[in-house]
Amino acid sequence: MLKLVEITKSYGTGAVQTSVLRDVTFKAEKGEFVAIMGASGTGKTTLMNILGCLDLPTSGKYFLDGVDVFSNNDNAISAIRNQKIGFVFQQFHLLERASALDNVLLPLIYAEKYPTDAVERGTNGLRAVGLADRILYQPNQLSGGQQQRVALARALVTNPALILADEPTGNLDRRSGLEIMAILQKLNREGRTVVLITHDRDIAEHANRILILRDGRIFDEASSHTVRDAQTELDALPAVAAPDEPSVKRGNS
Amino acid sequence: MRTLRLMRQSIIALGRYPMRSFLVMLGVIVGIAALTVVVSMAKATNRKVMKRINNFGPTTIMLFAGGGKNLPGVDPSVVTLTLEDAKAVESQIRGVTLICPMVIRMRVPVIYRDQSTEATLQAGEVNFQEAWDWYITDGDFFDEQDYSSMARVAVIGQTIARTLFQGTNPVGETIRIANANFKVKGILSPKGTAPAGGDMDDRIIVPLTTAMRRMFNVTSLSSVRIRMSNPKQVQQAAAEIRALMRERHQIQPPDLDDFRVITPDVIAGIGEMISSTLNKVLLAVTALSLIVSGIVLMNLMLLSVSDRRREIGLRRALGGRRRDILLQFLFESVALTSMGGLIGLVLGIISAVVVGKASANATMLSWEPLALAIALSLIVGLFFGLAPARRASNMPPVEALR
Repeated sequence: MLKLVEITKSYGTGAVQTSVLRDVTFKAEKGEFVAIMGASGTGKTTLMNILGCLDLPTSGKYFLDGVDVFSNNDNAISAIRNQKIGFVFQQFHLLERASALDNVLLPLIYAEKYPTDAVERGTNGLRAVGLADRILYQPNQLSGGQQQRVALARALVTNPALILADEPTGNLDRRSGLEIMAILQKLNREGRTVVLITHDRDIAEHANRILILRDGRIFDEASSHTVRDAQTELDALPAVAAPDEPSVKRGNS
Repeated sequence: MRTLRLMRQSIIALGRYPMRSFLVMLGVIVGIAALTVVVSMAKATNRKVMKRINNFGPTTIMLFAGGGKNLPGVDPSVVTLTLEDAKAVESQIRGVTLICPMVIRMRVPVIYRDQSTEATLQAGEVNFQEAWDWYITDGDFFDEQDYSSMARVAVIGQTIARTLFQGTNPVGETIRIANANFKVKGILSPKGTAPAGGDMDDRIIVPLTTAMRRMFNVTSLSSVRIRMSNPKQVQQAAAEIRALMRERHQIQPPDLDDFRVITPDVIAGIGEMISSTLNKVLLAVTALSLIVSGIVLMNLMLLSVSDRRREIGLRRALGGRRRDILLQFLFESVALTSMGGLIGLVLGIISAVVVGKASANATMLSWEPLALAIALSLIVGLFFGLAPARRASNMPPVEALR
């Protein structure tokens, strides 16, 4: 499904070269849920950028869904991002003053062919993440957890081969974070490949497999941990009245 | 279509920055409005010139007695132009369809009962109507019989009819022209303002023979109206007429002509300088405000690009190609300038109407300002929007998302 072969990334030129990634090689099969864990400064972001086809490695190869990504030109790589990768960012990265639905539909704008059922797809996607009643809300009318769920719906709208989540719970409280993890786990059970990048062991343990990134090298932990189930954890949390209500006053839509 | 989707994104994005959008549009609005006024005035001037040429007659050449540069007044003391000259023009210049030799006197007193006025007396031949494309509306024109018998008959213009007869029918009445009785045979249709200015309807037309022998006792003409079969022959014929007249009047260099040959071109040139200063000022305003608005546009769009780094990064991450980003930002610029252009056009049209009503500068609405407004605002948007759009599209997605 995805394969990295001796990926190296260095910055600087000549004598003062800093290698951020050194010969990173690993594979993830279709349907796997892989967490890449590392403290800050270990090259996590750089790896995430390369996995997301946002940045080019200094050397090495990257195969995604059978495609040798970096043998393509910029336009083709953009198309790969559009078709094969669904991004979930720590800061959500939603367009302000655009409705949840418009945010979800954003990737389709750059699709080869705009689907005729786009609005239906977007609506269904929002329903699937539990936001059926927030379709026309703007990001500032949504809580952090809700915003991240909009981002998830956006990541799924092109039906990508890979979900790439970069610290998706980093800006969320524990409950909202677990809700996101529960959705990711559900998507994975439905057969989607998920790559999660995090510094948080508790979050990483929701994945079936954990890779550790240390000093730009990757170490496979295989599956030595017990996989946590986010839904079970959520159910165990003390009940709160309305966990998702944002503190800001909500406008009518 | 992908392009249409990108355009929609641009419009949505503009809505997020209303103040900025307005500032950019302001310059374009002023520029296009000024331009619209200029073009409207130029159109009006142009139409005035065209009308003047048509009034004069596009196939007409006038040969006047007396030299000089100005449009001819009539000087009875110049006696160099003769009927023989007119006949020579008719027989020796190719393409001449007809000639109408004339004697003209200004400010001739005319009296009917207790009403009096001054008229321009124009004595011509029977072909006067064809020569001038100017026909009677009432009564008859004088005929060959009147001409050869030097009859005291007259055809009068609308102003004379109105002034002397005040509503009663002049045909058949007797008027006194320069102390001689004339019978009014007919009334000419309204003609309006002469090419050189002045009312053409204050004329009285009498047979040339009557004027030359019975009224003024002269052998010289004031002018000859010459009609060509084709407007294209006019310039050539005018040069030939001039050469012929110099030869006939035995004028050698460096002596100057004792006649003037007037063509429609000469007529068109009169008064063309009117309002050209105002035009220049307004054109400068246009150019300046379009350039300023372009620079404002460029700077505000550059600011916008750095403000929206993350949006650009996001769009790239979600599959936007460089070209898509470039197009989106170019569309934003062009949308702003074209909106400004349209608003400016509307304001300009309103101003043109107001200027036309409130001042001596005539204005005329036409399609040209519309085309110019659209073209110029597109050009400003594209030209000054390109650099910001390029910067946006060249932003690496990683940098942009940071």
